[in-house]
Amino acid sequence: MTPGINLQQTLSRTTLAVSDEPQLIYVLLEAHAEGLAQQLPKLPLNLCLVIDRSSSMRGERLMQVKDAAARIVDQLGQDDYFSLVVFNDRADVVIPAQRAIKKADMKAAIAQIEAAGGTEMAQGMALALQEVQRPFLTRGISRIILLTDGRTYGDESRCVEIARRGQSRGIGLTALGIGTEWNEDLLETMTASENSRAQYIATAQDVVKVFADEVKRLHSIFAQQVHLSIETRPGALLRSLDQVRPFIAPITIVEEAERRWAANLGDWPDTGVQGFLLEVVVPPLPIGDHPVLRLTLRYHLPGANLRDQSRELLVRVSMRPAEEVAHHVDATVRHWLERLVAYRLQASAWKHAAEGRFEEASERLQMAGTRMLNVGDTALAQTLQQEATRILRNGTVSEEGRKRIRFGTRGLMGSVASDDRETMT
Amino acid sequence: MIVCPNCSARQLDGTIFCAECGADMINAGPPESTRELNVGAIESHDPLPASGPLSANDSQSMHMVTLVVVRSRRRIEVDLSDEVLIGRADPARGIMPDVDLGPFGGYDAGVSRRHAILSYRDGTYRVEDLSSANGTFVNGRRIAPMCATPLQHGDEIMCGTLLLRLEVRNRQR
Repeated sequence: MTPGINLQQTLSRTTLAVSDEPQLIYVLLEAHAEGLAQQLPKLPLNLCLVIDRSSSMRGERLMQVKDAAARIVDQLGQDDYFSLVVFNDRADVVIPAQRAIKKADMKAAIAQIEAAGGTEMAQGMALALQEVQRPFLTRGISRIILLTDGRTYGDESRCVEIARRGQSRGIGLTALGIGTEWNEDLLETMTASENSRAQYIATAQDVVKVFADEVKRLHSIFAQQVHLSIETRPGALLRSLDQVRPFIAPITIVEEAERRWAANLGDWPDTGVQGFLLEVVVPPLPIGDHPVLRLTLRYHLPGANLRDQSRELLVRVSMRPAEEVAHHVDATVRHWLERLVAYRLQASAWKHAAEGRFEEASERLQMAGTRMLNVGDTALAQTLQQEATRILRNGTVSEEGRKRIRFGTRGLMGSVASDDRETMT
Repeated sequence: MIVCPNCSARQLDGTIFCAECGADMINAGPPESTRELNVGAIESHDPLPASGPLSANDSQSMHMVTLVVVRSRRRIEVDLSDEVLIGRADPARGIMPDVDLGPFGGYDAGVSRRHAILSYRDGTYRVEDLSSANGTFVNGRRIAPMCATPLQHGDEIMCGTLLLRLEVRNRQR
């Protein structure tokens, strides 16, 4: 079997009752690597670590971060490049971009880092982008990993602009926030792109694992520039497309032409499953079987020297007389949709709260709590309920609660790289 | 069009959760809310109230459980109003278990055609191994064949090497 991506579909309902009204179906699309008889050669990694060393990092946090950075150096191979930038009120290159060969020297440099001063992130990001662009890689994965614990003031838009410049050149960003003081709006905006994400590290003890998992994930990337195009039948409409596995992320879809949508899905590791949920409006159709969507996935497999690979999938529904149709809904589709709905509800709660509509905000958080309870995350359900009460009473939520909710509903709390992430607590 | 039981928004047929308020459009009972949530039970991670009779509605919903295929995270909904047979379909021999693990890699995992019985009676979930070739395990421990072993929410049931997890629905209500 040639290596490639296996694509599977599950519909909320495959059989619909004939109706003169449009109907909604949910399509769960799941993809995983297949035909990798032996491990493809690892793609070289070009990693730049950007560490906040402001005075608030002093103590346990910086210790854990330094430990984590040293372990990353151990994880890297001879073909991988590594660089390290630190910032407080100014930015410094601690380790210029180089192959990960002189590991003892690198670790000695890491050990020297000390905490002091304020937080000016844009300087750090600018220097990181410069370092990560130094090595010339014909193929491989370039990535900036940013870790911060505080707010940067006045240079937010510059941070976003630098992140975008990197992303447009294929340099992804992983932004890690630790503690409760950092600005989650900023990190989410900086990482609002395929190949990028923000993550919440609640306790310093999680740092080492989060870093190690991220490097492991980057090392296992096998498909690059994954691109999905979706063609609908006349009258059908693609209402939304979101990533649901391994974590929830809204995806930008562009209507390229009449009835044809396109989305970039980034680079994929060869472990675990990538899952997407589509909401599709099906127009009234006569009794019979009908194709509704044609999905085409295009991607490169640089490790196998295969470019412009593609997989196609046809999504069909069957229209039957109403009395023959059961109201059953696929449980797996429902499960992932329920998580997605919880994420959407909390997002809409923050919007309501910003407009001073605290009652609506509280209702959304309550409902998100019900949804999380149904999918089995009782701890997060409880946080949602607490903050729903708090916002109704005080018109405000706690910094920690908001971060737990924003990142927890997406599945981006603590360590997320493994797809075995449990849905139960 | 269907109307949301919670916020009365009009939604397309087939909608599972209201796009306006997020309420469940299918299992629509009374408008739901986490206000009724038993916070004490959550804090102690106690899946069920320790005592007190279940209401008629509760005991009915207790028949509905989900088996989660841990590896693929597939969810199989199971109605335990009656005993159900877990196994692997073999149309040639006329064996059609209620829960067919064939599509979940059952053959490779060594699931027998007639592997185990899952039941719910007198408030207790049970699994009984039908002398299957590769055995049934509950939370990692092999259970004796032909002997119904009690189960709780969250328990792991392994048929051969296929790992399932039992999830009891509506346990917080």
